[in-house]
Amino acid sequence: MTATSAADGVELVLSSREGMERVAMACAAAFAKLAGLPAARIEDLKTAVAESASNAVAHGNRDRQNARVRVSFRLRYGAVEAAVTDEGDGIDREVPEFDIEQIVEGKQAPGGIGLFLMRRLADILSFERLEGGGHTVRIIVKGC
Amino acid sequence: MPQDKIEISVEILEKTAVLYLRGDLTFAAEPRLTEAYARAHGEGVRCVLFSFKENAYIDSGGIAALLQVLVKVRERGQKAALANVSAHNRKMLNMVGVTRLADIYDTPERALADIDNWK
Repeated sequence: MTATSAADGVELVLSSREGMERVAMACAAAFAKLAGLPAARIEDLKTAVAESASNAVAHGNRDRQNARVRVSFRLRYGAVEAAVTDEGDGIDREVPEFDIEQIVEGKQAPGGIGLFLMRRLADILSFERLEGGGHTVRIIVKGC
Repeated sequence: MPQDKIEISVEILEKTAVLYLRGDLTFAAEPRLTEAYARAHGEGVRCVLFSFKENAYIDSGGIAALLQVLVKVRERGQKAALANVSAHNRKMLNMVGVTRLADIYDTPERALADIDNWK
């Protein structure tokens, strides 16, 4: 794991291992606190980043031990922008939208909850396949 | 990396089982959660209360594991409640719709007082 800071942010390079999402989450909390985000929004950012980092390890990097997950944070117009990049190709299949009614009726196993939460906790969520390989999820959480 | 493994103890109070969850609720908790509920169900309970550690870490995998158990509770005609849930965790659980399957209380005492009224 390495960390670097730039004039307006910080970047972590994490090994692709289960549990590393907690490191990303702790960094998100510290950065968002410095940025002055309210407590509730810090929690939203922490969860969105942790879920994205978990997905990066499990699905993006497919648990490859030598792969890396890059997580960066920067301030943009009073909001915190996090970017989580893995070495995969992005979502190559349609992820079924989580639907509690389908779960309650026993028609669907609980899945897709991480993505569901990310979409609702972040103010802006975007996905980008990178030229040359890799995939980035951008999460923006505003202060108010 | 070592995670905070969940420990679950089960207390039977008449027809209510209280499952005390101590540790992280992630998908790794699923076997212990399932086993604890199976133990409670074996005691013939009508209500199951899941009491969390204050500010417990809950992720999407943990919510999925919890939902699987809550669906079983519902299928068996039992009632479920959650207690000691932090504000953020309650927000996530509300978003996901866990309240379709369980009521959420501030404290186990309030949950148990309400459960008494269900009977």
